[in-house]
Amino acid sequence: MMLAFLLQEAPPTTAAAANAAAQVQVVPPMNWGALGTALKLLFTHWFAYSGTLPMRFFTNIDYHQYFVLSCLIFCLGFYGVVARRNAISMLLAMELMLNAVNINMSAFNLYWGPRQTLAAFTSEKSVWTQTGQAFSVFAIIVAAAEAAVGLAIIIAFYRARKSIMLDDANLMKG
Amino acid sequence: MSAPLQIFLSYLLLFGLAGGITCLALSSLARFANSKRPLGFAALACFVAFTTALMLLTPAPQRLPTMYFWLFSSAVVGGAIGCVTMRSVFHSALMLILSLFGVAGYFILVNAEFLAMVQVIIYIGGIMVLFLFGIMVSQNIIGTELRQTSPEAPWALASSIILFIFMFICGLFMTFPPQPTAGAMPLGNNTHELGWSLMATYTLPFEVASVLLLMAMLGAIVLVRRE
Repeated sequence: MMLAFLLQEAPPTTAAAANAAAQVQVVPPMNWGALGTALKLLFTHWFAYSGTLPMRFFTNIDYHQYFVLSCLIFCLGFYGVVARRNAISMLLAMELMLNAVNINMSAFNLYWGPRQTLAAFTSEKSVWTQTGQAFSVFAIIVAAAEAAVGLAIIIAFYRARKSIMLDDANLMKG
Repeated sequence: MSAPLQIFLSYLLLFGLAGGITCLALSSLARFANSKRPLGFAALACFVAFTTALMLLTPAPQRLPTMYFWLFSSAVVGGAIGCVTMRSVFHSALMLILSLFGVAGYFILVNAEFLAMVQVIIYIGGIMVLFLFGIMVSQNIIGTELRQTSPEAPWALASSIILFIFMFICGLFMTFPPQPTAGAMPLGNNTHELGWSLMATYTLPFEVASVLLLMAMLGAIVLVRRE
């Protein structure tokens, strides 16, 4: 889970980025004692790419954490969709998957939102575009439509068969 | 901070998290149903140790966002696990509401205030209430003790674990472009910029989404109408 932090960060390229990087407080390398030394010997080729140890996964919140958490939520939703027998439980798990996508789009919009546009010629400031949040709004709209139509289908199915278990949805079986 | 204290706190953090999760998993098993209380206290102690070590290890400017991030993460992951494992569908929907509140907290943390409000008002106040009505209409017994998983559930679990590992490795080796301004705050009003994005840049998808909502509304009415 902590492997993503072992990759080295790219050095700042422009003077503005160097100024922004200098303002962020530098986290000193973590000392883990004897067990840390043993782990270093075991995973030298991982630690060679990082100055610090994976404690930064817990203390420095970055886009990696949002990515890992949304992956986890998406896979839990996938398990729910595949494994549950109940149609409503399946729809609930689909909501989980949609929310994982929303988390990812909003978090990446925070870190890669600013773009130099026409306003940069007049104000020398980067403009924050909200493309990720706009697509999160579209995902929420689609989730609302999906919930309405899905529940309508489930209620129609319940009237026909007196059950909402997907095992009973075999009217078109030959 | 001195080195031995840092080492102690690092181990306290890792073992506190692992011990808390282990105690919660053990206490949720039916075999330990008689002795749930000591396991619950042990899990609480482990999480308190984790929180204390995290607070002491984090540098001061990032302390509050870090604590809130892990608070919301526990709500989101715990709610999601409860949503896909609870037997009663009603309880499953309530756990999903907990998870959605955590996602709203994530939206606050990534400077998406409008999305957080939309999450609370539309998702929790609209969609989840619709789900609860659907559950109450279509189920005769709310607290049903039926088996909720299909016989293929172990295969589903294995495939979802493989999917997680695959996605995680993809994220590990993905190369992202450098961040334009690392850690900087947005210059303008987030909601203002989102409005410009929706109404100026993405006008056509916005209108298509409104047509989609209208079609979904009409389709739902037609589907559930009695003859």
